[in-house]
Amino acid sequence: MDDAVNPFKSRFFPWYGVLSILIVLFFVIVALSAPLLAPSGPSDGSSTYRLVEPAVQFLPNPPEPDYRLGTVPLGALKQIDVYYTLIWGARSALLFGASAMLLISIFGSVVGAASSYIGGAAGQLVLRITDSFLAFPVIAGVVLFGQLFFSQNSWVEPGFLETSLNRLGLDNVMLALICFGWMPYTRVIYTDMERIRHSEFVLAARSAGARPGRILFRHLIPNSIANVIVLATRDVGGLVLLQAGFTYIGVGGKSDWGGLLAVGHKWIVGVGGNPFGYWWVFIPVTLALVVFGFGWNLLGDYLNELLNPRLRFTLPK
Amino acid sequence: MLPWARYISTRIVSALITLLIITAILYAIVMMTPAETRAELYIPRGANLIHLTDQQLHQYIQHIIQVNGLDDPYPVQYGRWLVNLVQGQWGYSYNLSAYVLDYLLQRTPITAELTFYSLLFLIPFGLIGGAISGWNRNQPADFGYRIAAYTAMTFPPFILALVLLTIFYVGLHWFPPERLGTAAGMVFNSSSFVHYTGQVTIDGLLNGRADVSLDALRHLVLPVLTLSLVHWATLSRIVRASAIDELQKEYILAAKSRGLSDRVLLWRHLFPNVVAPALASSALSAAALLTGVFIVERIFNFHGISEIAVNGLLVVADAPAALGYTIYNVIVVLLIMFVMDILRAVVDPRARNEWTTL
Repeated sequence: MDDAVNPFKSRFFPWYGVLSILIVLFFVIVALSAPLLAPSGPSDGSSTYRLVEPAVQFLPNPPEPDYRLGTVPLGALKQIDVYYTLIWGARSALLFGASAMLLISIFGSVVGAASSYIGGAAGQLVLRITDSFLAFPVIAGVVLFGQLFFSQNSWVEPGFLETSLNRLGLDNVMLALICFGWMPYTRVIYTDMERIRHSEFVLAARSAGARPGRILFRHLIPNSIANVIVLATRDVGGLVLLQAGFTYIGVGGKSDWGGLLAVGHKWIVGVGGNPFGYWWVFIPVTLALVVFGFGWNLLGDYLNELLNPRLRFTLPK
Repeated sequence: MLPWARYISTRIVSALITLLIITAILYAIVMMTPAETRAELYIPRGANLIHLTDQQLHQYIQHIIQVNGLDDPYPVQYGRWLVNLVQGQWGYSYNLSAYVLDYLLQRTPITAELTFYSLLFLIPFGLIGGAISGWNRNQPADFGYRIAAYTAMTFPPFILALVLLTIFYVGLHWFPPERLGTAAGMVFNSSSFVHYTGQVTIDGLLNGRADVSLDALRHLVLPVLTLSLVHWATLSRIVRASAIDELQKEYILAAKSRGLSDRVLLWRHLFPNVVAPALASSALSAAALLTGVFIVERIFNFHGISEIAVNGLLVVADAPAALGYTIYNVIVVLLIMFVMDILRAVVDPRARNEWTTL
């Protein structure tokens, strides 16, 4: 009986579930209250990077009241405030992760559900094309789209396409992640729907005279959505990490955290074999990325246990 | 037909269909470009363009457009381009001043070596660790393992690489970056050193120069560690999920009620059934592995295939290089998937008899 009272033993709120919710909530709160936590500096109010001119030039400056987590040199005189980018980066990371996740999960699920619902040769063809996309590395997509739409003398006539893409806030990384990220959802929802549509309760509904639309929306979709939700939750962290990686390498993308790490990367190797000599250059941002990804992954695990009751069975020891 | 022959031929046909679909999509994208850009894809091998003036080059491009019929409808052009592709005519890149296929093939052994050693580590660790973690679901061992795996998975590989470099190279002088040290590099590039495979670790042994192989291994430690850490975690999560799924099945309960020990249950009954689906999905994440390879090669200064994107590819439009890199990557992924499928059939006899997935 104790189990129901103690939140750390509870079935619906296991400790890792609570932890994951707290982590994700923390990032949401930081993102929402960014204007309060890191008010726009005098140098540039609109950018997610705040430039300061500290006393020591050319070297990263350790934390001081004016820049709470130190600075990273950018060029000769200007330096970037780590704390400011850390806070505003949380907002852009959350926005990017959530919007990319929503786009790919909705698109992938619709394709998967449709190919299962249509079935037959057409459904098989759609699955075949989905599998082909799985053989496509995201990095190749980033390179290709960067070439296509965003390079100097890009292949496609500049103008129409580029401006409309920019207006939508799409860059090559976002495009590549959308184009080559939806396939797992298609496969997951297809497998689930195939399993369910041959089950007895669907047969019962059909023999009771339920219309296809009702079967689809009342039985098939609610019963196959769980795994998609789990996958989507886990994906948020991964997408943000990938974007940061691409920004760091310099192939595109607008990750603030990745950009800051790219500016500061040479200071990691800074002082003779001690990577922590200028710790503020990379530890805060790396920690943010790790905790962010960690939280979303753990939340995915938690939702998985919560939404898939059939996994609750454990072998008697 | 023998099950094996049928299985392997099914896999090959399936991979070829995938390749056809992807190249068709890619060429459809290329069709959006003006004919002059596409013409670079058709510059034949052996054409010497270095001494041409701009005027002559322009004439030459017009000539190529005419000869190859670049104003024809899409299916005709696609078919012609595909024939070129199969014949190894991948076009000439002005940026790299090289023929794209030659450029990629030259750098293949470097990337292959890196990928091979990473897979050597990450597959056994991922399979065994994931199975143990799933077996002990929601117990301290599982939580410990998952925390380690998630940290590895979410730790930015580019920062991990730099921190490892700082500690083990700058600090301890153990594992340097790049592919080979200066001395070993000179031996490797000398004329008396025969390049059998292009892989330093193997060629060193074949030439009787174990020191060169050792040097190469020393240089491989950090990149392989970085690359396998990330993907070990991804793989073991798949294995864990598949183990949990499998534990619900009745044969496990039946085996348990027969009084089999946990060790026999885990390794003789559960493990073989877990490995097969896990290998299938890890084949699907082979594409993710190549993205990781790109990042690791850039940071450790390995002049592998990713170098094609270093040499200004991302700044100036370069159709042959971008397309070549893309198709090359797709082929590598398909190859990895093929190997994984074979492995899966070795482990799981049922897989040999399935051919509905074509």
